[in-house]
Amino acid sequence: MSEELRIGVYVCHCGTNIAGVVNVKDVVEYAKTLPNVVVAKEYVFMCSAPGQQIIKEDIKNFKLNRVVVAACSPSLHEPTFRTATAEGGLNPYLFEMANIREHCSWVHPDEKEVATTKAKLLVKMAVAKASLLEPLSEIKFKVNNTALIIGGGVSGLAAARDLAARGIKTYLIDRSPTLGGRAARLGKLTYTEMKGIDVFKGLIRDVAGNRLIDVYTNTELVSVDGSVGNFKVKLVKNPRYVDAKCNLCGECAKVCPVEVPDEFEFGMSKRKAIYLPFKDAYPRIYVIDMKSCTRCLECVKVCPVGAINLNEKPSELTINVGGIIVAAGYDPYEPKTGEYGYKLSNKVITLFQLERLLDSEGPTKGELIVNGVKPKNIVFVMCVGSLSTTPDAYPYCSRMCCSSTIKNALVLREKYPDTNIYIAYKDVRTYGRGDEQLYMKAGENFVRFAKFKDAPKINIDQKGNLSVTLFEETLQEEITIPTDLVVLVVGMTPPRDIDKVRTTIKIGCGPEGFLREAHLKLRPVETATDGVYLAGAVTGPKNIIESIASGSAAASRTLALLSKEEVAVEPLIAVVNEDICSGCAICVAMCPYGAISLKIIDKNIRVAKVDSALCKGCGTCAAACPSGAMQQYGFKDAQIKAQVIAAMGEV
Amino acid sequence: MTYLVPQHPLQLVELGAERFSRCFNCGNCTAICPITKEKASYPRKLIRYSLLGMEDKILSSTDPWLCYYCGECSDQCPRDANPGSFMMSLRRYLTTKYDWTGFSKLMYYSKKAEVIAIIVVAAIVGSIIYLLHGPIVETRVELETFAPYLTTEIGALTVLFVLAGILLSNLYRMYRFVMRDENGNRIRVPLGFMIRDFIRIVPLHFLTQIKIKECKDRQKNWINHLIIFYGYAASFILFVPLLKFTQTNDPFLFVNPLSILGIFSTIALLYGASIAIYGRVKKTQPMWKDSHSTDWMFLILLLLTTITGILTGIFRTFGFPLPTYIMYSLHLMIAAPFLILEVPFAKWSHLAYRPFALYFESLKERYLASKR
Repeated sequence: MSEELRIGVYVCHCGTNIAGVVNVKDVVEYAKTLPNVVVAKEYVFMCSAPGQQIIKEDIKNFKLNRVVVAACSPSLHEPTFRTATAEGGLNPYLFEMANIREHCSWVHPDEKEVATTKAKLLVKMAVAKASLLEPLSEIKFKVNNTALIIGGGVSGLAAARDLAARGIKTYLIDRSPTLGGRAARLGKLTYTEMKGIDVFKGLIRDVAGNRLIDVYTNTELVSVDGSVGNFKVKLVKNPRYVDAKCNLCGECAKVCPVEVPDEFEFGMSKRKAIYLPFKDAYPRIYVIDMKSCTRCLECVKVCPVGAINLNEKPSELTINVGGIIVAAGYDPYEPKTGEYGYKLSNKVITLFQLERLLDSEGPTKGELIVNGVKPKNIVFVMCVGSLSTTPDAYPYCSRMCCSSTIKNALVLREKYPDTNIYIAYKDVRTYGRGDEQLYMKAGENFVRFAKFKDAPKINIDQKGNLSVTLFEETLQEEITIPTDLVVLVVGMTPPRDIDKVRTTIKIGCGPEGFLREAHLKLRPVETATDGVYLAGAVTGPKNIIESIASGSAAASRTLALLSKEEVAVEPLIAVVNEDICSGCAICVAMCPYGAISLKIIDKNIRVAKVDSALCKGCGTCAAACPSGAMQQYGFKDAQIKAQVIAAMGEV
Repeated sequence: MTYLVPQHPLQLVELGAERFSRCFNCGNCTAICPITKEKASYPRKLIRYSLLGMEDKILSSTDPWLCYYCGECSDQCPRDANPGSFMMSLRRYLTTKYDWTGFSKLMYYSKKAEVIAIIVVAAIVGSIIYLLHGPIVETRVELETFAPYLTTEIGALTVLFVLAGILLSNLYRMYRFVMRDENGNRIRVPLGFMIRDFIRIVPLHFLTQIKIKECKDRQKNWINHLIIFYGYAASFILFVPLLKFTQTNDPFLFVNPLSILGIFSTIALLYGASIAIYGRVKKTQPMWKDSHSTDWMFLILLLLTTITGILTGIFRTFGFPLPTYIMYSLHLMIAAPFLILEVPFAKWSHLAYRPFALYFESLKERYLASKR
């Protein structure tokens, strides 16, 4: 670069955040002595409009071609000053920032002189790097304005509905043979006369037959390539063995000799190996569970429309989408055998099983019949698997279970007034609208609450009689409640195999395995991977209202992306100097985003090639490259070396 | 380990407890209660015991008898669970439990049974009078001839002994229920202490009911209580053991100290019963806000007994023979069910249970102190 370097340095007071510790005047005077610095100034808040104005005017007045701001962290205001630099007429990447707040004044509040010296050095390093900065331009891609939604529960359905309403072509996939997810199995919901299935029907009305929504059930994710705006997604569609000719006559299920526990009813009733998952399942086509099918061919013989094909094979398909919404939902916590007596007695059931029992379309047609008898005393044990109740339990609160338990207790008290209901609880958190009133109503209706800290013990005597023993916290006494039925109020856990989806799409997760948002508060439905969004309980326990709202929110964020013509990506990515690259492929193995491949430029000569759409600019390849052929824009070896020398002096 | 009786709290609703299942265990009631002590924790703890169905704990507690229903807890309850009425229902509940005859249960749980029982007793007394009365002298008042002293006194004393027997046996049952440690094991206290504490506690509290004064604003209530108590006690003594001197043919005049006492005691009863009935109708005090049918029956019978007694005296004094005999018969027909049913089986029994609760509590404390 032949032009003469003209650097402007701006030192921010940040009120007293910096100026209260660092002698800003000294730093400015020092900056003036640095090579190529033509102007150095201070201001109380550089990020303010007048502060930015100083930069813009100086670029014109002093003909600056580099700008250095010594202020806070780049993660806070680098975009601000880049914009100011650009508005002053310079390439925004000719700007460099020195962090003299987080890295200096805040950590040395009692050592003012040393802090001032450190600030000077930080400015010196920034100036040294600035001298070597190059103009860069943003990388732009055209956006493919279609979307993929993974998971056909209520949040996925809501997102699909909202995207389609805005005219976005949407692929909705679910690994199970039907849409509906978990909510479709719930009985009467709190504060409404609706059942879970009604919510599902309300959403499916807008999804079924919508020409903008392609539904793929029995379908799983294989791989995701590309980046924001241009994902290439491979899916595998597992065979259903029954095609769309199915007219739901049910003859096949009648002749099928195989009976297995019905997962829709949580194993409380049986289904055949060929079955419709539930009455209102979508798509409305029977399916064969090949794991239990004996291939006796009875169904094939009896099917009047010839819809059954036992030789169907899995098929792969590839779709291109601009954005992905992960709405994989949750799994109910499954207690281990023996945990709270689970599976040791069939009078110990989970809240989800109770929901099925109380559903008029459930295995007992809505009657509470367990083991052939109607229980008179019922104990709900709350926080099973949640709130660290047992050493293995998750630490979080599953949120929906308190209200759901109280709702079921009230349903039971109204349906069977002579039933005695105890709720053993660790804490009652009825936070939803109307739920506190429900709690009050439960009290009025003689639903008894017993508070525990350590998990209650379920006792099963030799005759099979149950009782629940717990140390009651409000009384500080141990009590034993004789009971005919124990309902384990299980919480919500990350869905099984979510890690497969997570690593395929590259999304972070929390300690419990729920997927992690880009920012818990500011960006709750986005992920750290651009173009990938989250909806529903896959980020943590949510009730139906919250799940549907987050489905809509994810759709809205996806729309913000898909409604753009093109997306711009920061140009701070890796670049290969093909002349010195030896093609050793260390970088190919190191790249966490699969952005580097080898290309053959001549016989026997291979060099690394960076896919700028995939590169996230993490710098791993540049650090690993043994020959220095791999460089990263904005952090080139020479630029970093200049900083090191500025800080340490020539060695 | 306490085994629970899930149905238990529902009985209290029948006995007048209102809304107490709303309780969410904040403890404001106990904090505000002027008489609950450091160790005890009522009403809160009793509500928890009851809601969870811990019947043994309720049965072994003397706390319900220490509450005089000032209503502070109900005023302060953030859930409007009315702990005061709950404590009241516990006293009724315990009364039914202490009583071994089952009459108490019958009266408290069924209004119909209560009325029928009263009518039956009145009818029996009526038939006895019809069969055993002496000659009816119509020319002048000959009460002594109409109701020969010996017959009446035998009747009165029978009532007295039956009543005392039932009440004492119920007190013994109360002792058996109450004298238990926190694990439900029976506890015993040396006889010397039992006698000493009895002398120290029971007569004082039976005769003065001084505990009421510990409650908030209860000075007036205490005086009302004493007026009814002494009016009742005096009438009882006058017309049962001293019947020989009070059931006479003489005009009822201010002639001897007995008749003066009789007039004062009946006036006291009239006043006390009227005040209580007025208070319950108008609900002037918290404790008068939720009246059970037995409360009404008690007051109505008390008032009718008093009025018929006074009228008998008036007719006798002014020399109306037939009205005197009829009124006296009525008086006995009302007084008998009142004494036989209401006193040992219903509300009036608290007169005995309250001082004995203090006594048993003191014995329990002695036991615990010796344990320590």
